[in-house]
Amino acid sequence: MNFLITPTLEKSLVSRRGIATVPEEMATVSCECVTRKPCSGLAAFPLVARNLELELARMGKLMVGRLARRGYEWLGELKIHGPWPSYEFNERLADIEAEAWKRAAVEKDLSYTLPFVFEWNAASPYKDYLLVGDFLLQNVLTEVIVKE
Amino acid sequence: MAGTLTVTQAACHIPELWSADTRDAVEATVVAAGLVESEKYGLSELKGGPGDTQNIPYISNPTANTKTANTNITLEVIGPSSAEASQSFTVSTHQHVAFAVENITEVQSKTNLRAKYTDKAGYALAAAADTNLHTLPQSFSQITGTLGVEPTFDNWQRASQYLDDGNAEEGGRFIIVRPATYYAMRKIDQFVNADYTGGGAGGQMKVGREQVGTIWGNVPVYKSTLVRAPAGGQAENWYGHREGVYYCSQDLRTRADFVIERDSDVVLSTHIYGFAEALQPPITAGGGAATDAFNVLVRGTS
Repeated sequence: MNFLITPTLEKSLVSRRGIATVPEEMATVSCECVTRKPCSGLAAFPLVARNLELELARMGKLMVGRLARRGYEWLGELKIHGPWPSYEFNERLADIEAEAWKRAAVEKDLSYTLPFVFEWNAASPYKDYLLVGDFLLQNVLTEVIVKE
Repeated sequence: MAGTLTVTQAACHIPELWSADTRDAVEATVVAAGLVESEKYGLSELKGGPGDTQNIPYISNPTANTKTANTNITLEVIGPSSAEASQSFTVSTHQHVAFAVENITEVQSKTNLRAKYTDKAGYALAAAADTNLHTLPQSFSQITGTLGVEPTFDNWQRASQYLDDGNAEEGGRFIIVRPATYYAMRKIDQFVNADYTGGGAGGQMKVGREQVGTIWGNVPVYKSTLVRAPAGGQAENWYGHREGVYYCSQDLRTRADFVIERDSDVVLSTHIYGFAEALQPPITAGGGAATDAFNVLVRGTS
């Protein structure tokens, strides 16, 4: 009889980054990252940016709740950084199963993959804020190829 | 070199593995970016940051002066107008590929699943970098051939002579052509007929992909669909020398973000790099204006 012994896995402290997209006109408050200085996130919002504060609070709550369903235990703090030109993920996510990947592989013609590449568009009407928080997450067994 | 596959209890987020996998895929895929200069002239110092600009000084040749007895030597300040100039190289291209992922923890913990994303991101980012490099030939000042017409043996001879005239070393030269131009080369007797190629002075054109042959004995020929085609049936092929173009892949990161509104984990690969045509100071004693002497645009068919 064969026995399979699996170790008891612990939890790890992990940092997750959530991306919140807002209209450019709402993104009126910046952290020090934008000027490439050491930054610990936005400390306070001026009263005139109340709409932004409420929107980011809503997004933060959504992030914590949605990650909780994935097993992330929030440790109580979210730092806000940004804004940067938006990645506009709603339009630019590539489909890993798209036919173009197969054609590129079969025909060895990488030009089929070019539509999946995008550059930041400084003229985007949207801005991204980054919400960074620490969470506890159950470890999993991870395959690692040791390189020599 | 890949070694043993082990299974380990590790933190669930190992972004450095993702980034390394993507970089491997990029480096294994690029053609043009792998042929041009990316180490010398301080380019390697830009890798990984910080900084995004490197000033690459020109080093002109001094003038040989005759020493007259009983007179002091006049010291020479090297360079045109007694001021050595430099070329400013900037890393300013940021390109991205992003995938939505159903279960990020599962993808991160399984090598095969992770490779599916990192490899594909690597292929696309490599193609994009090569495509950008292939935008350079349209600005080359040394040009042979005609757009939409198969380049002749004389065109290739002239292109080679341009590099000789510019004092580009024999070693380090390369040719990248669109497939149609490659097959046009295969029609040129001097490149394929053993009567010419036997002594190594002509060329060899094989059937294959990527490096598909050599001409002039030691100049590798590469075939790529990423070579720029300004219009249907046209190609801007590239006959150059390694030191004719600067390229620096400064950073290549893959990370997992959470897009809050879409309730979706996203794998985002970002490639930050710079590329520019390298200008060469003339060999003339005393210096002069730097030119793009190490590159030739060979117009042809697509």
